[in-house]
Amino acid sequence: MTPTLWYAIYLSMEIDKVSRDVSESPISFILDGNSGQPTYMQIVQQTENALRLGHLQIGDRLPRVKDVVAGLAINPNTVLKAYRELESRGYVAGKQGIGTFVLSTPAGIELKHYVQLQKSLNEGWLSEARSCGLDNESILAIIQNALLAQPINREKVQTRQDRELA
Amino acid sequence: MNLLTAQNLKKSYKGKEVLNCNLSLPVGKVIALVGPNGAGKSTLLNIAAGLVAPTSGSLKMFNSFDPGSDEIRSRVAFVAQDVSLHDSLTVAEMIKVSGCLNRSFTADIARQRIADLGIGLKKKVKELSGGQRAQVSLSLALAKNPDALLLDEPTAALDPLASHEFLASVMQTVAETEISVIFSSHSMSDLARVSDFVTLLAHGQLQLNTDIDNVLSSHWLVRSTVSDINAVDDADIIDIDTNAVVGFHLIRSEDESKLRSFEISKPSLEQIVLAYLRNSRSHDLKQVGEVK
Repeated sequence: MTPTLWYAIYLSMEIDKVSRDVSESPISFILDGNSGQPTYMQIVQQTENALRLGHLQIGDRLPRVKDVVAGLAINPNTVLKAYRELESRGYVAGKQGIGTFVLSTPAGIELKHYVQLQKSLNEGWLSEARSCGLDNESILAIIQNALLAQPINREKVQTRQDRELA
Repeated sequence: MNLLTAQNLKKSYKGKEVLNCNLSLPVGKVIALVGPNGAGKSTLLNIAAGLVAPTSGSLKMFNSFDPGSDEIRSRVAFVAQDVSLHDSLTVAEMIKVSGCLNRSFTADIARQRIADLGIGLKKKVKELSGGQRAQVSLSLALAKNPDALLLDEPTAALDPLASHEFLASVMQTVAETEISVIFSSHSMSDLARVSDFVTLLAHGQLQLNTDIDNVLSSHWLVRSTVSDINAVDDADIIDIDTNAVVGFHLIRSEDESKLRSFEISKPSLEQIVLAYLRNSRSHDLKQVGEVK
């Protein structure tokens, strides 16, 4: 995570030079005590919505924990739990003392499709690969090979179609 | 390390027992102290602050220190129900008095906090609003730079905005330091927001004493007939709903699979606490179980 984190910080500094003020977060949170949703989940969902709607962009900072806590009068651990959840979903990266920054946005893919794809990967091919005793490096190597192979295949298909057309 | 350890701690007033418990509380948490009026919450906090002596048994702070010791006087700050300020003094004079009473007191911390809140140092305490009085009390407590903060229903008399701002100040301190907090209140929504540990006292005895995450993950609302729910093994029935043929019963079970054949949902912290309070009232003085 560290190189990506530093990239995010570098990016945030670059953006800072151009236009946006990233020393402050562009968003804030509100709480609905009657929603029945746990507080940390409300923060996770409000962040995801902000990412989808473009209020938060790559390199942007999430609100500082102490600012969220001072605004909403909630336990700091609740904010940290929400940020950890967003980190595990791959949207942000955080480092103590520096801040939490946006790494990626769910643009281009709807969250439900993302969840479905991740689920089918986890339950299908990945668990098969694990049961064969493959470690992370081997799995990554196979996936990289497959990704490299994919465009070549498509090219072959196109050429064949091209030939048929010709 | 434990913040507070109570062994066979008993307190009686005029022969009436108001507290009788064994209890240990961890450091580094915001602990919600909950219970009906007369449950012994204030008594426990007063003993922990060294203001009241127990009738028998012992209470230690930070593993081994007596509440009244100099060590604890400087490490533990107490904000009482009847906010302990003197009406006729100015805020500046209150700061001075507190400085004389506490060795570890840093007057500049108090002055800075109070100035940041926009409260005039020359104002008399009786001219302050309820919210300002609570904030001044909190500032005086935090000026000791304490390791633990004991709050005895600090927001009971405050309007919603003042209460929100008071809790926000406490949470900000929690975010910036490693302070441990024990916070008693009747407002379940406040407690659910700010706490990560719950201690439930009823009739002077301990009903719940664990992380809120544990409480939430081990309790279930089960919708069934009374006879069906009574037939389940290995599940503690905390509260039975007898108002309907098929009612919502509150159950404690570490193992969700035991409840597979039922319609279940997750209760809120407030529902769980209310269930324990109803249970302890109906069982009167019988202890109903402690979640480890």
